[in-house]
Amino acid sequence: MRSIIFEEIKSFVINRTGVAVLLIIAFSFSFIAVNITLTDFIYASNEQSAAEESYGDKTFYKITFIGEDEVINRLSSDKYKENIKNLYDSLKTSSLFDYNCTFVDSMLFYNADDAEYSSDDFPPYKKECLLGYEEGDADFYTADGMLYLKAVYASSGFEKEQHVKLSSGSWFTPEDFNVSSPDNIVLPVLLGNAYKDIYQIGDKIENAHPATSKAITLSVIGFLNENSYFYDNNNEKTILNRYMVIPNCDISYDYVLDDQSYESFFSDTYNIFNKIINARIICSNENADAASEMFYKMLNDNKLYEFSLINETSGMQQYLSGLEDQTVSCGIIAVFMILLSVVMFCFQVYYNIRKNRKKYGIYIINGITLKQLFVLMIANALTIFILSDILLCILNFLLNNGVVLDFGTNDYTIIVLFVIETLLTVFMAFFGLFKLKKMNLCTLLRENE
Amino acid sequence: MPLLSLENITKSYDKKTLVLKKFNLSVDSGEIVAIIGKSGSGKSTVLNIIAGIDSADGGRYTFQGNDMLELSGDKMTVFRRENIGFVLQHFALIENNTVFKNIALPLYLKHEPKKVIKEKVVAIAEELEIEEKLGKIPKQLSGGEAQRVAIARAIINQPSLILADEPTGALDENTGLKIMQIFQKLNKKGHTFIIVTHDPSIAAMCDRTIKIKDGKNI
Repeated sequence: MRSIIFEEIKSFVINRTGVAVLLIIAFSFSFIAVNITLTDFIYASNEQSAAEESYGDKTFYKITFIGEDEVINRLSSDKYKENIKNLYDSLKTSSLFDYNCTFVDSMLFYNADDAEYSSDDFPPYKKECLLGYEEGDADFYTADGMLYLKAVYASSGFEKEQHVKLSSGSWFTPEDFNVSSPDNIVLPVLLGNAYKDIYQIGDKIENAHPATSKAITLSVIGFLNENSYFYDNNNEKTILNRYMVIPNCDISYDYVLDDQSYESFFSDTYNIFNKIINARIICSNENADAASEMFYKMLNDNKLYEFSLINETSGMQQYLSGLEDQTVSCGIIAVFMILLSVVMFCFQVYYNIRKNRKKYGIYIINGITLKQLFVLMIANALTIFILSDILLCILNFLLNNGVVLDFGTNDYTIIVLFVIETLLTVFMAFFGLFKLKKMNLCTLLRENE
Repeated sequence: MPLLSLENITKSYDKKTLVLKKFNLSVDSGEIVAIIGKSGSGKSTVLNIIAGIDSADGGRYTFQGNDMLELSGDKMTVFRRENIGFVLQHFALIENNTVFKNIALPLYLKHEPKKVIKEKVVAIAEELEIEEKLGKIPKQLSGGEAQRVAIARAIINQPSLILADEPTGALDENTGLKIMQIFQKLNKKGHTFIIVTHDPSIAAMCDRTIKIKDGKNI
């Protein structure tokens, strides 16, 4: 039977090589269109559900600033510190919206003695550092000899995050968000689930403050449930398994030093500028306009004209609407291309049967069963699909490497393509059998008569 | 009990053209029976009904005592594969396949092992003196050789009955005679033949002749 199947494939592909090649190309590009459609669809769905989970039906504002590095330098400078602090205090106390500033950043390990961020100074932490990253990523983060850990700087109320749960220990207390002295700072830390085997509650992690060179101690107060997550100010879902969560502190001591400079703990590590540009401002839709007006009034009052408010909700809606249009357009093209390819394939099957009707007649008088005929028809369709898939993989590799066209491949699209190809294979096999059955066998047998 | 029996078989196409009108035929094992009639008399339709590639509208058809009109689909296909060999006027060989593959076709369809296929094909080819042609394709064969290949394919499964539809129709007289001699030789070995022909000289070489005209026995 294998020999017959091979002959069948040979005659199907080689008899009209041009059409077969065209079919392979047509199906490949159809599958690319399906792939793009599904990838867009999945991406849009994920974004949509992330938005819904993150801020629901409320309005989400984000603060940004106009300009580049020089603006950051100016706004972070001592000259603006009071204004920035006033803005920060106003944001925190506003009744029109909820201010939240929990953001993701890295935590460096610093040696107070030699003022270096060298990883050599912290061999005990190397393991933790490597744990903080997926395999391979850690090489990048330790390549320059520095140790970074994935950290989350949490606002007060972090325990109210819907998808963050404690597996053991306790949450931060309101006092944990306040540093009353620059000396002997001990910050509580909640560790992601992946740290469970390394630390216990009550353990101390010693570090030095990057700017002041003063010792800083992280005290483990609890562990988070596996796969706890939250959405940051960019609406990125952050899974906390490999993160250290420390409080995003305010200070209650006088941060102006004798020489009239500012104490670095305040200015460099947890500076208020960060707390502003990483803020999530969420308000009810009714208050959206009023919240925006109030924000710009705060900017005016503090002469901080470089800041502006971005309505992420409407931005996201516009983006999702665009993505939806793109998905629909792409889907229509994909369906159209598949239909065209199927029609082409049906013509090729019909041509093949007409051309080889005598051969099929010979098979039938020699006792080929319906099942065996079905296998022959399936073999033709499968050959075309396998070659199309190979071309698809080659195109994917070449185009993605050359960054000409990026069509993502994910598990879902592979499953969907597999289902589509299976259905089409069965359909085409039935089509072939149907066409064969419509031919008069007695005529087939006397082809030359 | 006869090998096969057709009783009052009727067949029409498009419910208008009546091809067989209460046709009767009984064939015993080991016979060579000729069905003779003019073109369009319905003799090929008789063969098609016996082989199960066409169905009768009415009447009764038994093969080794079994009611064949009850069989359908793959059961009929398997019956055909196991019990019937076909030899046609224009040989019905697959042009792109070698003689070996053409002869082996029924064995491929039965999923016989490679080794068995080779042994059987070589043995039959030797018997029909075409062993040197096994690597050739049908285009490279003479008419007589091509018909011997068709015969080899028809008997490779050791069927109880061989149906030959105008087997000498495409051959010259001498070659046709040789093919009939092969049939007679195979008949002596136990094969039963039904040969459809319009040539009285071919019919004369058979044990018995059934005449058909306008779909009826005469």
